[in-house]
Amino acid sequence: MATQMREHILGVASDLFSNRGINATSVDTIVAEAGIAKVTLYKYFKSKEQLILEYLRQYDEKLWQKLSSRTTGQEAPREKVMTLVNAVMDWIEDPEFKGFAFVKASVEFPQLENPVHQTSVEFAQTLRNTIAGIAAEAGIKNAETLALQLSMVIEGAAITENMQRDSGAVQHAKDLAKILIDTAK
Amino acid sequence: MNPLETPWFFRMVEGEARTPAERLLAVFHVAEKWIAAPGIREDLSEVYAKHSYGTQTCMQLRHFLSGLASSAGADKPDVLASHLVILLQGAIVEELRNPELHAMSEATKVAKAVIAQARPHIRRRNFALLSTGGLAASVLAGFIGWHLLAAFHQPAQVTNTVIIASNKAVLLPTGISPSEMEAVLTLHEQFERGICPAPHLVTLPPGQMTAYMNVINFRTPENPAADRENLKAFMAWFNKTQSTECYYAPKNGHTTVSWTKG
Repeated sequence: MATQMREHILGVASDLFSNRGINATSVDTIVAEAGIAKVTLYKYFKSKEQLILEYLRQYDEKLWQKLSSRTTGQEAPREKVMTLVNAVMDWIEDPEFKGFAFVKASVEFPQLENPVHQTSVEFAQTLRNTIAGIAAEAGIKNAETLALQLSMVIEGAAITENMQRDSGAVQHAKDLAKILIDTAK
Repeated sequence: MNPLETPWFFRMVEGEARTPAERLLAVFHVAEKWIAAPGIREDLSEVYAKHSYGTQTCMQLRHFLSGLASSAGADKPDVLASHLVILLQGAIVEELRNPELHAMSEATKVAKAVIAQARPHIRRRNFALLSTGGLAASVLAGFIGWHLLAAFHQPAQVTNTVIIASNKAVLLPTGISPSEMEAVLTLHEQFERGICPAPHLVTLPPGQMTAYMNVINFRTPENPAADRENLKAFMAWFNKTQSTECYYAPKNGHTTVSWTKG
């Protein structure tokens, strides 16, 4: 029962955060949407900040579940990089996609020392490190650089796709990523 | 308003490089310098946070880029423009979040590769041009160093190289807002086209003259705060005493003057 309530609150809050923005969502709104008392919320989450951090963690988990289901492990190493990038791109194209939670969070909390900012930077790093790891396996020397380049393309695609649905941004970004991977040494 | 969409930004890009292909790349140089200018990073973070992200359609920028791409001889100008917009957006977000990764300069390198990829038939020729150009520039640099005076007698092409070389060192004048700069540049254009009477620069107070010259030459002022004050004073003086002398030719080609009583 206790975990159910916690999940319920987190679910409602996550929807609000991703639809309206984190700063624009007050605790009062969350409480009203969830149909609970404020005391109940604070029983499960010490602060709004904890709720945000939990939201980011859950988002990250979901993202990785989605991505890891896409790779079969059969591809050639260089193709693996492309598969991962394509998986992220496909997800960006999904109508459910509302922007990367960690990108939005780091932008909404620009102070470098803020825990929310730090967590979101960490998550962005995980994505970059994973790409770098696969790229290194594929024998690409500048794996770190390629990973940074690809994550920029991914984020750019997310922004462009978000502002203009069906503009073909995702396909462009996939082509761009392919150029980068093919030309990486 | 997104500064990447303003005429100011496009002007800066055009001032930074001459050929369309160089200008495509200059978009990234200018954006990088602009973000590095004092206060911009903070302002930009705020803008991105307020509008979440995703309210900026970047249509003007896309249009500008695809124009450049097609003059640069890209196979698919619109596609190249899309690629560059995606790259620029991603780079800015990454730069704001992790300044120490130098995402903007990395994006510049990527852009270079992507632009080269998009102009396959020009690539080969350009490499040759670039290497001879580089050689010529280094020879020229040495030449100017030893025979400074002799350089003035070189043909026009040489002077162009000098200008391009000096343009590379152009920095964003800080302390002056884009709109103020735009106003000065517009006025300058009106002087050049003879619409408004140009004041004799030497008769202006010396600080104002310097500030004005800094803006029209895209030079970084030594003292931005003083420049801003001087520019304000200059614009105020011009608007008060000189702007009535400006003559805008009628759009329909007629030159009749209508008189009003009183």
